[in-house]
Amino acid sequence: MTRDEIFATLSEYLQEMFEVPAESVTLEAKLFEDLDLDSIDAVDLVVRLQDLTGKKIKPEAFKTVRTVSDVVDRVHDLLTE
Amino acid sequence: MRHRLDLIWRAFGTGLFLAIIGVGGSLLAMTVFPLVAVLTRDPDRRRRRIQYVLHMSFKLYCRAIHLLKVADVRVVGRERLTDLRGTMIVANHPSLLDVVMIMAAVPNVQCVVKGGLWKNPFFRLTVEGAGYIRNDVAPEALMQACIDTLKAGNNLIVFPEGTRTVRGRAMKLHRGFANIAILAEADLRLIDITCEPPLLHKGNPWWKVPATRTEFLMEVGERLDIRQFLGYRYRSLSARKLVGVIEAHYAEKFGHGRVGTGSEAVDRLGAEARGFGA
Repeated sequence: MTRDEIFATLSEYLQEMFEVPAESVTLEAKLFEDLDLDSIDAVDLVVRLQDLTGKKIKPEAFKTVRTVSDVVDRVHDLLTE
Repeated sequence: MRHRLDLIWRAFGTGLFLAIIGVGGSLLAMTVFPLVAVLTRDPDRRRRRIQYVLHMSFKLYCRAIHLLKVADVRVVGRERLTDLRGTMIVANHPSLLDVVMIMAAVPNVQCVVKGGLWKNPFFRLTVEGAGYIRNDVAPEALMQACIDTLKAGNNLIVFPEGTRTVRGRAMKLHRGFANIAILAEADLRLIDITCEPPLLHKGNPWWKVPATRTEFLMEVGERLDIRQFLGYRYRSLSARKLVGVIEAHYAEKFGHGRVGTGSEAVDRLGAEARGFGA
């Protein structure tokens, strides 16, 4: 998957799981402040991304995630590992 | 003169009743609760007994505040709170008396309390004996403890704002409580509390009592059937729906806390000036 594809999939997830308006999902958007996710949502999102990548995601790897682009980077790293 | 005496009496009474909570709580923790613990080995029965003593003590406490005219304490719809089972009691949190009023009205109820209480052996006996949930564990463990207690049929008080309500500001609710209710499949009972004129609110010392006697009013509102929120594909959506319904309830009930306050008047005047009817 390319970064663009990952972004598109992630954007879809954010919309259907957390009712985030499509136009709010930008690479710079902060998950907690701008998109109104909370820590419980973050766990749900990680689980969903595990299904997508087929890889186990360590919670620590997601501790420092702040923005949409951080998530795209992490998923990209996982897929190219 | 009479008014001045009333002010002094209420300031004194407010301090007195604050002291009673501290001293009385410690006394119960050192006498009655250890006795209950020794006499009741079965943890379930011990929990019920400790909760019952707290319930009766708080009831007496509220009645004393009312009878001594330190403040008026009124409950509307108390009968809706007897016979609760496995219900999440959701309340706004304008004052220090909120949890006391709820516990005075519900005989079997638990809450989340400061983990620091576990450091003192007597308080530990009380809060652990009553089955209260400590707040200083990992978030997942805290959620699980709340889910478990609801599933076991206990009632749980939550204040979804996570802190005391600030007047004149729209209530912003956390979603943790909604996720707990959904995972536990627990019905909710809404409680609206007002404390007018404000007393013991954040940033105001206890001796600064308002010009007229405060009324603590607790209204027991509707029951929310959790099943209406369970049909969504993701729990995160269910939680958002539930929070939305409760936020709408409080917004309607309190007009974002601005009804009858200066800021509401400013809003109204502004709207009228812009050509909108009131």
